[in-house]
Amino acid sequence: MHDSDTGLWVGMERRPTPSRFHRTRRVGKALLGVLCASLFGGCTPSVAPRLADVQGHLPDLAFQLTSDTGAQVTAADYRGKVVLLYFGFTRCADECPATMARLTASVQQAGTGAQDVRILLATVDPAHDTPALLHQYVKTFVDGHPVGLAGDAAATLALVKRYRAAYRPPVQTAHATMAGMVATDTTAPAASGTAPAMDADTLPMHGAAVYVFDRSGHARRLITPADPVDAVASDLRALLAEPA
Amino acid sequence: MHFWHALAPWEFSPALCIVVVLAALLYCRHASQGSVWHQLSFWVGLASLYIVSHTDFDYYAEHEFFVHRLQHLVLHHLGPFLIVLGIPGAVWRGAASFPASRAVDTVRATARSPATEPASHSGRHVHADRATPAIRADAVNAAGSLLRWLCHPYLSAALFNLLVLFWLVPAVHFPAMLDWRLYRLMNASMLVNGLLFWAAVLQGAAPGWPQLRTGLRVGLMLAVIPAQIVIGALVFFAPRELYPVYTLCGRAFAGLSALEDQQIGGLILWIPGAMMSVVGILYVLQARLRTPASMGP
Repeated sequence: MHDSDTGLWVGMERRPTPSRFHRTRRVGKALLGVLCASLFGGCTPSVAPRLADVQGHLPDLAFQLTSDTGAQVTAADYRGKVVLLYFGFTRCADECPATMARLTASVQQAGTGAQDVRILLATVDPAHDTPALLHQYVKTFVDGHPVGLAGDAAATLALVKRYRAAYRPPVQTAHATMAGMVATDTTAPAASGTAPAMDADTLPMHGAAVYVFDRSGHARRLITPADPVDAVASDLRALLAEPA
Repeated sequence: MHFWHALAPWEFSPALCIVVVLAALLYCRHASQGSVWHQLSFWVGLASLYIVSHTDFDYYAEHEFFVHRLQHLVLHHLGPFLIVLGIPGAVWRGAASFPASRAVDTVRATARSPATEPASHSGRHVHADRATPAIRADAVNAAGSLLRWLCHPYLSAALFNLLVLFWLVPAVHFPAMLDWRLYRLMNASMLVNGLLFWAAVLQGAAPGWPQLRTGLRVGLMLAVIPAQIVIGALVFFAPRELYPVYTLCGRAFAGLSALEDQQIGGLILWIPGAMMSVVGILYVLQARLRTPASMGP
């Protein structure tokens, strides 16, 4: 039954009218919500990263190596470009060519910004992979983008350690070393006429990660062998869209 | 040459060197009056901590999951266990004479005393003088209180379990193995928590708290067993790779597959971790049985 005095149905209670204090609080909260949404909404990228995000966890790109053209290069030479760095060597039969092929396909799929992407292959077999050999190796892929990087054993080890990559240098049969550290005189066996054996034990061992750096040299993503080409292309597009 | 090379750090950490040297010096000055077994226990414990965190072993711990678990077994269980056992009981009971405790007491005394001096200057100066020492005393007391609560034995035991769980959450483990700062924080947290826990349960000595009863110590050691068994079993029986960072950055041992590595790591967490508690309980019980009843806990 309708109560004509209160305007409510009998048995119901009118909700108390919010006091001015409560109304102000509600408006304030709504405004704060709008403010937060606009602030954080502006910060979040329009496309969520599809690759592993390592922003803030790995050091900036830094190295001092020889490029496949014979020039001394440092990370400063690649500022303004999106860099894909990975470790490999020319004698690697399966993993490294597959990685390079996937990366070049992703770069091509990235579209118009692709000329600002550089793929750096840092060799973990510097004794065997001379700059000329590296140049020949990378030339078989898309021209202009892949750059091979060589360096002495110490520079290679420093770079590998910097990015927390596993690394076991090539073991020369006569001079076995402890894993990771001492650079052997790898030219000695060649000089004595015995070529190093090419079985799995003597080839260098390295990780499969590809490190992605943005235009400012900050480490942003980690590409795994399992990541599909379009995921890599999508994240490359996002990084290329960012200013230097 | 290879021997010295083996002792060289994979990643140099000045903080660790300072801590190890300080620990060695403090031990030689204050705590080396024990038997040869005490000495051996301490030095083996300290050396094991150094070896797993500051030599080539660290490289393998970064790139192979089961070696990482071995490293944490030493940092969290074995190393602190042996170090605590290496310090004779008399030193633990006389801990009030430790230089650190004396320093804290001195600071507290100086912070409190100027506030009780009679006012001899003009009004404003007196007010300022009395306010600052009071604030300083409050701050020191608050800090001391906080530190004391952080050393509470129940908290140490709870953190013992929580830290194992936390650093093995895949979303946490991934950045921890990549970021050198998180990696060192992870290892340091294990070491500090290990020292606090085993000091509390093996010697009953939690800084700032009264001596723990034997029953409580046994109870705390039992309390840390289930979590390790459960987490170890979960890791062992996981059907897929939980920690892809090792495959990603490359494994140190090419012959082991990702799942094999994970399973060995799970076993290391499951079995030796729980065993340490059993060994600790046996030690505490035999020490209690040997102590005459009149000497208390």
